[in-house]
Amino acid sequence: MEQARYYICPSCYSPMPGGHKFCGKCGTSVEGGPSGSEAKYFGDMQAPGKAKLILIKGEGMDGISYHLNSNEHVAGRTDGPILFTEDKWLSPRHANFIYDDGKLKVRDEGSVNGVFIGLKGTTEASTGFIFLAGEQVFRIDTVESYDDDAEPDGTFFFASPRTDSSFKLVQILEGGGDGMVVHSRDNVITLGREGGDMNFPNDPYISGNHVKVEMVEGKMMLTDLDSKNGTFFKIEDEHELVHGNYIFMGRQLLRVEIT
Amino acid sequence: MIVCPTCSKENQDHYKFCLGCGSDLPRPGGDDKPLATTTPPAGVAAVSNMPVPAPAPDPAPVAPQPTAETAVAEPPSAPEPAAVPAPEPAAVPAPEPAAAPAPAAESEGTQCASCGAMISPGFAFCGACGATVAGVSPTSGPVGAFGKDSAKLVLIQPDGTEGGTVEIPTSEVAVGRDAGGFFGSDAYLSPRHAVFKSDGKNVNVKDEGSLNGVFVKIMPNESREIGSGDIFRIGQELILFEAIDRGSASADGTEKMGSPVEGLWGRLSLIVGKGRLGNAFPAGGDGVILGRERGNIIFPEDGYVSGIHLRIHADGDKYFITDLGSSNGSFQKINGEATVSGGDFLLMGAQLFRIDF
Repeated sequence: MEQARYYICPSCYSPMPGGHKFCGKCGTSVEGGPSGSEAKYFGDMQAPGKAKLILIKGEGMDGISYHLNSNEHVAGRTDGPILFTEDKWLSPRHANFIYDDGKLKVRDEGSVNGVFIGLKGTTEASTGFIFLAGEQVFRIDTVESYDDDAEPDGTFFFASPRTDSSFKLVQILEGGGDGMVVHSRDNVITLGREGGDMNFPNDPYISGNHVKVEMVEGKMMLTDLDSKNGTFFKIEDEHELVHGNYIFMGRQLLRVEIT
Repeated sequence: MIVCPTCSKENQDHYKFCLGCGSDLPRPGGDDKPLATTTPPAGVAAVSNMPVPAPAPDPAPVAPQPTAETAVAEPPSAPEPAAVPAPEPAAVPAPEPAAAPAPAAESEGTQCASCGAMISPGFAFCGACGATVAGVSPTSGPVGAFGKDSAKLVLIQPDGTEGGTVEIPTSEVAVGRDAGGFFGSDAYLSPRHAVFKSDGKNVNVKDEGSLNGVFVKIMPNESREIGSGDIFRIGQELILFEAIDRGSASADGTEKMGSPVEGLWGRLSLIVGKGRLGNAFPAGGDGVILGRERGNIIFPEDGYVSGIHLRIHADGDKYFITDLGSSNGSFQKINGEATVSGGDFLLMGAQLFRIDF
């Protein structure tokens, strides 16, 4: 005794080769028969080529993953599916993870605070560029030339002595105001816990030497100096994501995994 | 090599304390450049030509502090307390323009019973010591604008000596580059800079929208209240103080993210040009100290800032600056107008003045 090897026609019980939609003996159409389709995975997690986001730190259990199996995945305080309802620093509709031509990208959906990517090595920056280090938020601004001419009535303005700088780093405080400002000397500003041009001895998440901003041939370059917690820069509209990228938005730190 | 004044041991030039006995070493060439050395607090006879014996100069023009500052703050030219010279030639200025009207008669005067100075006829009081001249009733001179209620604005030159003087009557007098005289050469004075008025006890100063403002000197160890948006000056540094604004959430309820502001109440910015701010520093907690070498905020390249110069702190929602006995002083810019009294110093344009009554 043995089991029939092939699918059986429900009318005449004749064996049907795989992939056929009509019984060869009696002509009955077989819907829902051997579809010849591929086997499905038990779980989405097994789907290759699809990405997921792992929550490293934030609202929810560490390690929780969000599977990016559709084409679009909105993240925000009220718009999901990636929801963080208690995070006041997330806009209601903050970001969108999309597949574009097979590539995974993150798009800023006009959020107030922006979407940040972990910096590897060096990236070019332009005026208005915003980045994070430790608990601090910074903006890079170019410095315009100064007007030292006398007033029309012949009076000169008395000002503090200054050195010529090409750019400055502005600390952005909670609430949006400007905090500490440091102007570049010799076209470079180093930032860290101590010993640099801008120091934050009381920030436990900043490394000794954390990040460097330098003007090289007219372009401003931001370099992470192998800091422990990393440097994050704000994306403009969209940014392509690769395996291992870290994303920071609101108070959520996520890691991209693409298998 | 520096020779220690206490134990005569030779020390290398960059040492601040003697290797042999530990006392302060004077720096070669002087450390702080005095903006204006103070004249002796006993004052200088300004109105009379008589050689009044100069009072013993005060040995410590600034509050004594156990730092290298005291050794340096005394200008090398100041005489030691031990040797009291006969009239200090440097301190007695050229004859001041007489405040009182010229005597009507050319006849001989009388000699003052108190101090022996010659008193011109018609005067009721001795010009040198103020003693009443017996038997003379005061002549009626012009009353009103220029009279006993006038004050004087005395120019203090960079070497500490007095320059010219301007009368401040009870009616208003405008001061600025247009006034000519020693004002005319100061490019940092506006043509019409400020207006002064005396009421006999105090002087009212009103800033006439000048470009660089009018600054009042804060006395050593004196605290003055400062508000958000106020400006003060130490050495060559012009500094703006602002209170921190915590901001508000955006319209859709999202909080704006940024560096933590816990404990921060203020921000100090350098003014480096017309409407241009330079570096900015946070102020929070117990306050911050500014100085050339010591403190939270340092200006190592500004020789006019003392090693430790000024402190700014908060008390509730009020803010204060305190001069920590600096050599050149700290100056607070007046907002619109201010009242000053005799002995107060004012900084206008690039010149330092003293108010005298």
